[in-house]
Amino acid sequence: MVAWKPKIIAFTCWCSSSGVDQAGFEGFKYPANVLTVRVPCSAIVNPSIVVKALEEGADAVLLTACKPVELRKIAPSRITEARVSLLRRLLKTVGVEEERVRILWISSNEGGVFANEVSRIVEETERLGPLNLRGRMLEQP
Amino acid sequence: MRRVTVLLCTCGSTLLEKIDFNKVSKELYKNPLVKKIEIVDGLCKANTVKSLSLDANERIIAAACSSRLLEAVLKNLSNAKVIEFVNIREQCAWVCDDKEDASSKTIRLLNGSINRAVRSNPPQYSDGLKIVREAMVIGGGIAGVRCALDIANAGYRVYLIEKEPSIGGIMAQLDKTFPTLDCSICIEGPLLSEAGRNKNITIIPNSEVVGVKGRVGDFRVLVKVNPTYVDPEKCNGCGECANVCPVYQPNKYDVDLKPVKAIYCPFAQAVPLKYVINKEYCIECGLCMSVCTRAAINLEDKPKMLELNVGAIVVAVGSDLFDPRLKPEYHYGEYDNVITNMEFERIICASGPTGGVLLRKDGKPAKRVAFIQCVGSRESGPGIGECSYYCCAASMKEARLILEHDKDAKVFIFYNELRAFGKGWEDLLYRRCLEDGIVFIRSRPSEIKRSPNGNLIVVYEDTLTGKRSELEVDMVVLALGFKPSENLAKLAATLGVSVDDQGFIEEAHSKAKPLETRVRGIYVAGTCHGPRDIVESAVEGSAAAALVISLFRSGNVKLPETAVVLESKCTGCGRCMPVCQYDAIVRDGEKVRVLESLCNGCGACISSCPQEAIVLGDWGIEQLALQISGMLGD
Repeated sequence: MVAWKPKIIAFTCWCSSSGVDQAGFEGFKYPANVLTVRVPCSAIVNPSIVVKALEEGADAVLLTACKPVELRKIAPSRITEARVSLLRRLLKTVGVEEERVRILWISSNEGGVFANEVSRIVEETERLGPLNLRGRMLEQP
Repeated sequence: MRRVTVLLCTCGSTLLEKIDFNKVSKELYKNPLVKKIEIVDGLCKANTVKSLSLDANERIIAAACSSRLLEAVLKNLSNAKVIEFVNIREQCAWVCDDKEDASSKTIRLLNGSINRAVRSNPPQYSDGLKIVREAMVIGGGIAGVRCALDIANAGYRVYLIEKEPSIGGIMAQLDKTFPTLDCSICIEGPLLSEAGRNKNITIIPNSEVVGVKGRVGDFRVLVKVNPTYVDPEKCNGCGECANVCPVYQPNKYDVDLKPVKAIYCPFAQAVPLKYVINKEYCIECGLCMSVCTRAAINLEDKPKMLELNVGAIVVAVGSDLFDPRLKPEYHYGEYDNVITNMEFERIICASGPTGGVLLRKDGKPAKRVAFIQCVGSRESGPGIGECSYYCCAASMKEARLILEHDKDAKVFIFYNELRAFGKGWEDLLYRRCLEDGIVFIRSRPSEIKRSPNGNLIVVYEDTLTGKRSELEVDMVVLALGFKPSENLAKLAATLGVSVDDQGFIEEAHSKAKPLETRVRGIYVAGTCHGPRDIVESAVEGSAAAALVISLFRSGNVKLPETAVVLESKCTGCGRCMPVCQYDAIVRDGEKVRVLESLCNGCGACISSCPQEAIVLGDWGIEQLALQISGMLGD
């Protein structure tokens, strides 16, 4: 019997995408069911795209972004952070666990961090079980 | 229907054992959007790419290594306009243990990109924009002058904007420079006159920038030239006018210590060497007009506006020094013999008010002098929180100057941490100070008291011994920290550059782009972006000049892909404006507009627009949605 495996979409910004590359360079391993989408900046990811991914069958969505640096005013990922936190609360109201949408601070040399974090997230998502958002929404009156 | 060509790279044999290319290819051919699939052994090889004979209109999926490695190579080797990169090496083969897993992940990633590529448009880079090969340097201190000279010597015209009647800045006011104790104006003077003589440099004194429009390569700068009441074209600097002028005024150049006439030239080495009138003091008696043989004086002079078209701007406006009145415990301005280090520079200078003799206000020589460090820096009070960089070395230099003038003098330096980090500072300053018997006391004195004989008593706790003491001296010199100059915030707003939390100009990136600002084509040099010394200011002047020259030589300006507002869809709700971290979105009538010189292409705006009225290349909701459904499809 083929065990169920969650599907996870990871939006990786230009900078953290280098970090994701780094994981490969350095020989870290993480589950193959994490699919990366490279975007210029995490702030370009519209919350509706995150919902779309969940609708299309993703069991969790991850955004990897640059950690906003203290003293540096310019940090579009602060916008991402605010949006993700709002989106998580909204999703909770329709019964989607908050853990299914996450933001991870990954800088371009943090391949190991990415591999570890993402493995943990896959495990946790496995524990949550399939999301089946489309199915759930159809069931609802 | 548009279809794509998929290039699968085996990376030599590296990926063969990790990914089942036959299976991938078989699966992908099921996708109707795939025209053909080529399995190649290296997309980074010129021969391989050549043998594929790709058409310019072909939409290509390059499944290979990281696009950071491949993108530039492949874009050089092929003329295809649409290339989607899929990293099947670092982000797939190398992180998967199992060949089957890696193969199915490859298929998913590729199906996503295939979906995306059929909807992609060739990127629209705005290149070939015109460049005006003339530069503007704002501020004529050492950084600005060095910068202007270097740009001018490369053959480009430079407008040097100076708010004072003469260029020179703080360095022109100093007596000596550290660590060598060289005469300051003797070093800077020749540079100033070189700038004055250089045919490519137009010095515009008494002026300020009041407006900027345009973008990198093509700025239109509005400059206000304040009236000087003397026509610089006619004045030959003879000085007859000052001889007959009956009114004296304090001279800013001498920190108000040595009076000059109301019609004056700030200092002997001034460039341009022209007289100006300070209208605050002028009584309009007309004596100067009667002696000026060239009829250069016009008391009705009015401000003038100039519009200059330049391709690049260097901001080198410098900084102000901390106002010691904000630290009442030191009684500056109240006790005669508490002076600032800038006043000290003028007093100890041979051309200063006392001819270079260190005298107190009461005319007595100062025999015992104390320096207090970090006045207005490294504190949470009214000054800046940071170290002001120059003052340890400056005070050690000044201490040595005192001993050079008077061997019997006694000098004390109240320091917090003594920072002698520059070239030659350890040897030429710190060690010699110790050898000369200068006393270093680790303390931030709590108060200065005055004794009946006019002497000062410094109250302090030695933080090395924990002992509280008092020290009687003739004079106290306050080593003032830097602070952002008064008009810096206004200038920054005019230029569109940002300031940091201390109020200095913020760099585009403190390490990768240390002299660039968030506005492309506007650079910084010198103390206007944080405390630094003469050496570093001059270095930055030259470095900023190099950036300007490389922009001018580059031929045309290439802006990154920037966001564009679709006028037909924009309702002017303005939700995108606060989201933009670069302040690149401005109101334009009832709609908004993106300033392309500020936009960095992050896309925060497009995901905040409820009308989907902002686009940025292929990063719309539609393309991302297609990619995701391709990836997740069964």
